[in-house]
This record gives sequence, C-alpha cells and structure tokens, in this order.
Amino acid sequence: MAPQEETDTKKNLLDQAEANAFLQESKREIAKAYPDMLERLAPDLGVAVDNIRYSTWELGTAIQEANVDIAALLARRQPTDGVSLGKIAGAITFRLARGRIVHFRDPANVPTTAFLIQDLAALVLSAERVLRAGVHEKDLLEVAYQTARRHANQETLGLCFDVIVRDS
Amino acid sequence: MADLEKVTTDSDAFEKAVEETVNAADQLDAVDLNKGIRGPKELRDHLLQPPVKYERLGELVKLAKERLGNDGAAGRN
Repeated sequence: MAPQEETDTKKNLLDQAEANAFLQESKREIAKAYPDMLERLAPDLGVAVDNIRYSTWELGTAIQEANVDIAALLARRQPTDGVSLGKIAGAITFRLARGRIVHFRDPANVPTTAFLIQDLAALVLSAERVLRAGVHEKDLLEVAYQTARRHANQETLGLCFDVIVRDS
Repeated sequence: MADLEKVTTDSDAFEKAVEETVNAADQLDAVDLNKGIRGPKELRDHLLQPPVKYERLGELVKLAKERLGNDGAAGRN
C-alpha cells in the first residue's frame, strides 16, 4: 500500500474512543428497539401485549455476545474493509434468537405459533437496522426456518444474508 | 423481567428496561472489544442510521405461521 493510501485508510478507521462510543450506542439502540418490535409483531401472532414479558438480562447478554461476534469478525478479517452487512446481521439474528429472552405470563393461553415471536423479532430487527434493504419475505422466511428449526450458527446465517442481499 | 405492556406505554418503565439491558450487557466482558473493533467509519455510520421499516410485517408473520407453525414444516424450497 502506498504511504498516502495508508494514511487515508487510517483516517477512515474508528479510534478506540469512537469504537467504544459506537458499541455503547449500538447496545442502547437495540435495547430501545426490541420492545417496539415485540409490540409490532404481537397482534399478527395473536398474542396480547400484556401477556408478554422479556428478560432484560437475557436481551443484554445477547446484544453483548453479538458485539463480541462482530468484534471477532473485524479482528479476523481486514478491519479496513470492514465486515459484510450480512455477517453482522447473522451475528445479531443468531444471538437474539438463541437467548431466553421472551416469556409469556400465561403460556397456556397463547396460540401455538406465538413462540415464533422471538425468531421473527431477531430477523426483522436485523433486516431493518442492519441490511436496510427490501428483502422479500419469502427469503426472510427461509432464514427464519433455519433459525427456528435447524442448526445454523451466526456465520451460516451471515452467508445466507449475504446471498439474499446480493440477489435482492 | 420487563413487562412489555408497561414498557411500551410508560416512558419511565421503558427507560428502566433499556438501562437494565445495557447494564446486563456491560457486565459481560468475555473479550477485550477494543482490540477488535477498529472497523471503518462507514460501517459504524451505516449501522447507526435510523432503521428502514419493514413494511410487509403482516405478510411475513402470516407466512411464518403457515410454514413454521408446525414442527416438521418445510421451508420454501
């Protein structure tokens, strides 16, 4: 890399204070967006909002674990090139889907499909905040199936998102 | 445990739930994130933009209920 190019690249990198501020803000943004997402999904799933509880502890740890995944991706790959949005969406979707976040006050009286709420919240939150692309619902559903019923880790989900965004 | 109805209707409950969530995240320090997060500014700027609302939420939920609602249901393909 030529010296001028190297200087330009360094200017474009987050310094430590900026990186910390970014991580703090990311945590807060997801923490703020999550209840709104549950509230939006609840009516279509036939669940009363007053029947839903969510664990702030589980949500917080899921967000932090996603940040650890993203930091690891940035450390392992070229930090100057960044990481594809699909990989970031994969880490966030996986962590938000795996934690024991959403609970029902009266689980005996919810529709059988109500338990999809956490998978769908993870997926739509990633689509809205990370991908920001008009992803078709049938493509999202394919990833939802992997998340809810199969064995996909964050990297696999990331590859799926990469392909979906590329083909959208 | 946060009560979703309270959180979505009471701003104090909302702020309390957000703080609890962020504090929970802060208590985990499995790795030193400062070493790895030197990503480009464009990535940060993209991720901190306002969200693009997913407009077809109802259709997504309808399909998810039809196709994921029963164990063993197949995906699209």
